[in-house]
Amino acid sequence: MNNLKTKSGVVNYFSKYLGVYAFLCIMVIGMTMISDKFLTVSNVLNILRQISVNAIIAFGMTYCILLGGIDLSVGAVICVSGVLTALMINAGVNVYAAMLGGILTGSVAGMFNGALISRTGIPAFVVTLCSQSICNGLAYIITTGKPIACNNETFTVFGNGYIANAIPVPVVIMLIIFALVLFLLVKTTFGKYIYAIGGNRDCARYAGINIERVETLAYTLSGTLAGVAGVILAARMYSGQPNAGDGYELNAIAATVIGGASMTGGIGSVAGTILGALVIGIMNNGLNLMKAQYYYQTIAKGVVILAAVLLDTYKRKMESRRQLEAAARMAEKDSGKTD
Amino acid sequence: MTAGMGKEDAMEEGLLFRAKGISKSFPGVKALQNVDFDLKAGEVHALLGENGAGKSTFIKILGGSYRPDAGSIEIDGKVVGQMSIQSSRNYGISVVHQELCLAPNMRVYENILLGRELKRMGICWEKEMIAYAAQALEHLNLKIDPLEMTDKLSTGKRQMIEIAKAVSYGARIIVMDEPTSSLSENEVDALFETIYMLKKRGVGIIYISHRLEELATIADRVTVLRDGQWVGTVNYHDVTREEIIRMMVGREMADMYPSKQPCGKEVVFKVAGLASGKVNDISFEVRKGEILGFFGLVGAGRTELMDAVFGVDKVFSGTIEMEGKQLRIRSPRDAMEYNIALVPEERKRNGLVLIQDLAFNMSLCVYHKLIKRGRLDKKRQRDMLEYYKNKFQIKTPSFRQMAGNLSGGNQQKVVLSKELSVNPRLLILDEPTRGIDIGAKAEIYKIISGLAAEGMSVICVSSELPEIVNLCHRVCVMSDGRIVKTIDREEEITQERIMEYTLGGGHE
Repeated sequence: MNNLKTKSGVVNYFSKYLGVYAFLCIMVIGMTMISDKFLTVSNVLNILRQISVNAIIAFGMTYCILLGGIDLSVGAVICVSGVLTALMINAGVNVYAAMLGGILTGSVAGMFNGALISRTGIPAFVVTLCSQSICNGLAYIITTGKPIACNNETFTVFGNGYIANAIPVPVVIMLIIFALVLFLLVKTTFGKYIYAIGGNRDCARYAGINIERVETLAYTLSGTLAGVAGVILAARMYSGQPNAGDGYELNAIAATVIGGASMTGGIGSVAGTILGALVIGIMNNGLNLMKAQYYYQTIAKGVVILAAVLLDTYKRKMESRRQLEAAARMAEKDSGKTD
Repeated sequence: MTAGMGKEDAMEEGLLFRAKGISKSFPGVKALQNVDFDLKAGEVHALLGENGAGKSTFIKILGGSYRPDAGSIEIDGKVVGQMSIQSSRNYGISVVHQELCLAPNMRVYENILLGRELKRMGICWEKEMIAYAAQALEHLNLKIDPLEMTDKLSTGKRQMIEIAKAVSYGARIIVMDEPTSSLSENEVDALFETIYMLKKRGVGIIYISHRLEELATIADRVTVLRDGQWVGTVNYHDVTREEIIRMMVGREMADMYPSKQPCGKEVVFKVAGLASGKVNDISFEVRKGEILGFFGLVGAGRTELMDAVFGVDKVFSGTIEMEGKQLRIRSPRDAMEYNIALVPEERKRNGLVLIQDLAFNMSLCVYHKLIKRGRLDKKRQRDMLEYYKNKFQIKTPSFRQMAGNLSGGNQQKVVLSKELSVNPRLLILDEPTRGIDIGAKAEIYKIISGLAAEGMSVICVSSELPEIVNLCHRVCVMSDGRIVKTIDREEEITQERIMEYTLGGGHE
């Protein structure tokens, strides 16, 4: 009777992200055997702090990729928002107001992207590539190319502080944002419409969904989260640097893809993305503990992404085949009845 | 009995191709069951059948894109194993599809030699390629410049290029899938001339068409498929047109359609002077419980009209009224607020999110009602899903089944459920039974007439005449973006009448 949900939520969740979990387990077991420093509380918290900035951007990236688009501007937006925040604080603006200003800079950039993409039909790749270039230039012009130091303690605590003397502040921010974006994606019509548009844009239009609004909102969200990430990164580095976010967009895409998202849109979730970010974080941390050179880390990252995507594709094919067989069995039974 | 004739003929000389007992199933559909077919050199063998009879599946097996579940294929008397797209081509089979496979951005000679360019040490020899293409075109007496850009040519000429390409491959079996469907009269004549020439050279042609008229000019033999089954193979000149139609339609036709119920008098929906640029000067009304049909040839503007009514396309002038109240529809969402629902033309492209499950698709139009403050009303959703599943007999293992993994008939029922979830007073159906098998068609007809009997007003757009004739209370005939005739009296709704108005176009 109740065949809407045949598996319980928990089982369903784990089976959905089986690939990523398999990776996580293998890596955790491997690292624990190699290094006794790996599975310590301080190292785990350290990993979480290292992934927090990437995870926050990747959440926004997931929304864009779910729509069938992409946001290449996030790395550059990080630079602008960090630099502006540092500048404003140094100029004597209230710290919280300055941080809000930095975040809103990201929102504006995101809204610009979203409005252009949804209303002109220029591909997201092109639009965000352009805004990346523009933001990069802005960050250098504002700073004249030099880092802007900022040692205000109320500010730097957002990058380096701890809550209850144990949990790093960026980790807490990441978890709060995660809860928020997961809720938005799973529980609201906004989330449902994201899946509908990414899955079939024409169908979404005929279903009466305001595609322009949903798309603009999604890119605004991505820009806003990049703004948050920029503020945290500046706080962590005690300075706003014009090149702080270079290449972050690619790491965010990597986390999203490892987390099971399809680049053609419609498939994926922030729940997978946070695991994807974790996979990258653990891998980098493990290679660091093994004292491997940075270049090995990039090779490992490439291999892991490929393997994760292969596993995902295979899993999806099997699931589809299972469903087709079930439908065929039903048809068979049915025609048996009528014959 | 016509059935035996094909077998006797097959014993004759010059048999190019023979398929025996071909079967192929898809989820929920038996597309082909035990189909026999053969082809002699220099013959045009027409393959006939209604939509969903299994013609396209058969072609795809010939072309190597599908593997049959059972049956054997012989070429030149030798049994061949599983065919791939490549090996089918090597056996000399070539399919000229309805949608032509030419790259529009390349020149004619490049298209003719695509994938087998003439090379020396890895470098393409343009001069030789052009000469080769020119010769291939000459061979069929075609006056086409091999250097012309492909997208500059008419559909008819492009089709000729496809045929020239097939012949230059050394194809001896050419399959033509509805070759005349988008050709002008002159182009059809040119095509037939080419076909005669091919016949003389001993090429066998499998000719697929809806148009019985043109078979008289070219067909030697005819094989009819119905519901995936082989009905018979006959010499064209031994039978009458009526006999062929009877073979195609079969006996179930009578009980496929439910009897028409009388509809109400009051006008529910009224459109006056509507213009969207693609359609102009449109006026019609729909009464309570009425099924209003819209017929027209491809490009007559039926889908464009429905898109305008539903707010997908912008409307420049005209009024739309529902129960005497004027409506302002600027988007599909507006239309739905006014209780208008549209089942769009191509369900896979416009009606379904194929990579999402049934529950998602069926709830899509009402998610904003099912979700309140981030809480999905699961009970209400499940009740709705169960209601439509039972009402329409949707056959699915579960609501978690992906929409893409269902048969066409069940997919269409899912789209119907989705649209009905907004409680429409006016339901617009655009080609509601395209690409689904006969059994599912009959079910859909029952659903449509049931909804009308409950008092819903229905607009049914269709290019299948029997559907229009047997289902609709009144019919609007469209041509070139306008309604050329509204047939009000039920007894005047006949296939002949409608075709007359369709072809008469604006000359009235």
